[in-house]
Formats: sequence, C-alpha cells, structure tokens
Amino acid sequence: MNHDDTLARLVAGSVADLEPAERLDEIRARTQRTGVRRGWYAAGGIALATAAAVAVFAVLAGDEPRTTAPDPARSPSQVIPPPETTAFFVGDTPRGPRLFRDVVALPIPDPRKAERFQGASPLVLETTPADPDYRTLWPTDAFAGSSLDGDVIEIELADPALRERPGTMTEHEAELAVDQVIQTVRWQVESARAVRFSYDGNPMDQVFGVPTNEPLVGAHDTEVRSLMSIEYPSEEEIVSGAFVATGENNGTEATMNWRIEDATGAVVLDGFATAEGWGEDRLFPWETDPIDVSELAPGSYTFVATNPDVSDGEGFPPDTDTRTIIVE
Amino acid sequence: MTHAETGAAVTDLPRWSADAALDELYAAHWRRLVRLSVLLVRDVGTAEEVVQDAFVAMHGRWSRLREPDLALAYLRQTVVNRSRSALRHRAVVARHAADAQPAALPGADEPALRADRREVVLDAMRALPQRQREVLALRYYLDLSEAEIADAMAISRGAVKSHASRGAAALRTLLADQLTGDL
Repeated sequence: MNHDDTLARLVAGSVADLEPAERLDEIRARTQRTGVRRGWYAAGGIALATAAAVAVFAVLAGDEPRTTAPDPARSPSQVIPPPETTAFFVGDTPRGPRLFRDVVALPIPDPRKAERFQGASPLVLETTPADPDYRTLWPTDAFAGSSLDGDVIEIELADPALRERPGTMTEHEAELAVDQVIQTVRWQVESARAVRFSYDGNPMDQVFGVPTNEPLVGAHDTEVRSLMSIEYPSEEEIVSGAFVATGENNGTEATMNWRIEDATGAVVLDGFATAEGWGEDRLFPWETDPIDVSELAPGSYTFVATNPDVSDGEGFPPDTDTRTIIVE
Repeated sequence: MTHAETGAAVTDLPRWSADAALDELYAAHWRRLVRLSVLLVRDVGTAEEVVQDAFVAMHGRWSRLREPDLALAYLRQTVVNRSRSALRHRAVVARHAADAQPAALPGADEPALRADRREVVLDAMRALPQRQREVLALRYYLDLSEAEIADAMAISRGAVKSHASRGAAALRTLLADQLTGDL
C-alpha cells in the first residue's frame, strides 16, 4: 500500500497546483440561451465540426489564449464539439439481423421540434448510419417527442400508421425495430427502466404489430445485439501512428480477435484482446493494446473484430463487426 | 441527530434552480475536474473545454439530477467520457500538426522543476491504455472508491480492480526515477 500511496502522491501532486482559467462566464453565456441543445442545432453540424477541429488545432499549436474573462472574439459555438449520442442500428450477423451500438452525432432537428424531446433522443434512429453495414428500421418523421415519467420513457410517435407492420418488414425485424428504441433510449437515459409508446397523448397497444400494452424493458443484450460490436474506430476514422480499438463482445473465454485487411482482403496485421468478461446475458467492454499502423502504406483498410470460432463447422460462425479505417 | 431532525434535513434540502446549481457546483468542483481532465488529456486548454462542456450539459440536465451528489457523479462521468472523445478528435487533428506536441502546460512563472515533474507524470499517464489511465486518475487524484470509479466509468468493480493494479504496475515502472528520487 505504501508503494501505492507514493505513486498516488506523485500523480495527484503533479496537477494539484495547476490553476485553470475561470470559465464560469462562458458557461453561463451558453446555458442562458434557453436550451443549450437548440443553440447547438441552430449553429449547424458541419460548420460546428469544422470549428471544433480548428479549436483543437489551436490548442495543439499552443496559441490558445488563456484569459479569465470570456473571449468576445470566440463565440461559444466555435469550441463545442458536435454533441454525440448512442444509437442502436441493425446489421447482419450469421444468426440473422441484430443490433449494433454506435456513437453518432446528434441529428439537427427543427428547434421547435427539439423542445418536445426531453432526455432521450430517438430522432437519431431516423438518420442514416455512417457505417454502410448498418441500417435503421425507422422511417423519417416517425418520432414526435419523448418524456420521462418516473423511470419510464414515453416515446410519442408521429404517425398512427406505425401501429401496423409494413409488408416489407418481417416479424423479427418489427421486434428489432422496437428493441432499437428501447436499447437506444435506455442507453441515453441512465435512470430509465422501461419504454412506453404513445400517439397523440394516448398509449399505443402495438407498434409495427408488436404488442406494447405494458411498458417494455426489452430483451437481454445477448438476444438482440450482435455479440461483437466495435466502438472505436468509427467508420472512416483516420488513424496514424498507433491507435487503441475499443468495443464490446461476449466471446468464449472473453477473447476477441482483430485483424486489419488491405483493399485486396489480405490480412496485414492481427492480434487479440481480452474483454472484461463473457457468458451471462450481456456484452463486456474490450480494449486492444496500441495497434501500430505506422508501417502500413497510407490508404483505406478494414478493421475486423470477431469472436473466437468455436463452431467447429457446426452451428453459426462467430459474430463480427467491421470498420473502414484510413491510415495516413 | 434525532430521527425527526434527519427528516427535517431531508425536506429542507436546498431546491436549487439549474443556475444556482451551476454556480455552486462550479465553485466547488471546477478546479478539481479540470485537473482530473488534465491527467487524462494532458493539455490544459483541452481539459478546460471538456469540463466547460460538462458543466453546460449538467445544467441542461439539472431537472433530472436535482441533487448535488447526483450532479457531481454526472459531471465526473461526463468529464471522463468527453476527455476520451477529446483525445479521439485530437488524434484526427494531430495529422495536420506535424510534430506539434500538445502545448505542455501554461504557467510561465512556475518553478521549472515542478513543471518538469508534471510533464514526466503526464507523459507516463498518456502512455497507459485509456481505461487504466482513467481508473488511476479517478483513484489517485479524486480519491474515489472502487464503487464510485465503477460508476463514473460504467464498468464493473472487478474491472476497476484489474485496471488499477495493471495500471499502477505500469506507472511504477514508467515513473521509477521519480519514485526513487527526490520525493
């Protein structure tokens, strides 16, 4: 323990006397525009992302002004990275379609509409996922609002036709669509336990033909989710030097295998990592050691994460998730 | 304290508005949270942005947090998450910056020795895998319990334990000179 105390003192001591600049005025300026979110949305996502990159670059270059008063030349929107949220999209596994968790930029709704979404943001399920392997089962203009009632999230749908399952949707997909919402909003709002659907203020007895009379808690992760899901890198992430990949899985003996394939599908790097657990009915986080891509020629590659194959030729092959990465 | 007094204390909890909560929590925790973030992202300017964003997010969420303890837990969680994404954004941007090292730290009038030691410690922290770094920062700087760290990082207590022991072992090696030196 002594060892640990010395180490703790060294680490804590290294920043203990660091005096950050005061930012209360800037924070107040941002919170006083009713609805921070509205401010972000109104500013425009793409412009924001660029501005955020510029701001980070300025920090890197070491010329960030440090003043105790807010800098009038720098509007708040220039330093806010685009807000992100979690969404569950549908992708294919050897066992059929399942949900994959993805971190995505919040969509930019009409400000008047944004006010009707409290806490959860199911609107993200109306967007096209960045990863071409993923899709959403929800049409645009499906959601009208969300609110939290105790530990139940109420999702207000915008169209009564969503009660019926369209002919193009299988029963399994209809259930997955409902699970997309449950998983997404429960992930977004930690205190939420269950989800209820309504239209025009009245509870809906079914959505896409799936009974929704009672608030739904959703199926276990292992039933509805892919057993392998990459968190980082994101689709088309630019990497250089080395990067650490992260994700979640449920694989035999907590193992996950990764590989990087070039454009021809040849494996140029591979390795494995150990997740925080396996078995049970949920997924466990994994994190690779730093993956050194500095020897790879610049270009586009595929990062593949897969569970160990214990099928021995029988049953289903292991669940897999992929990302396109750009090595620079 | 009698039972009746306990009850009174509970009902008399300050009913802060979001603005009042922001002021109080800022006064009490701004510095510590920025320092925590510096241990994670190394750069002070980035850390200030991260924590500023976390306070704005907390303000927007106050109606659902309502209690200072919950708000602080939320702030910690948000600072850890946003520090992680700040590093990702920076990794993307870094390719434009050639060899630009993150501006180590401000403090022109700081004693050089202290600034050097800070850089050595922050470099060592950056060399650790992300989760080990997060666990150690929460443990060594904020002095959080295993359960609080598990909560802030949304991982199990067992995982906290294993990241802490692996991280501490790695950090001890990286900082061997400092540990045997002039402490």
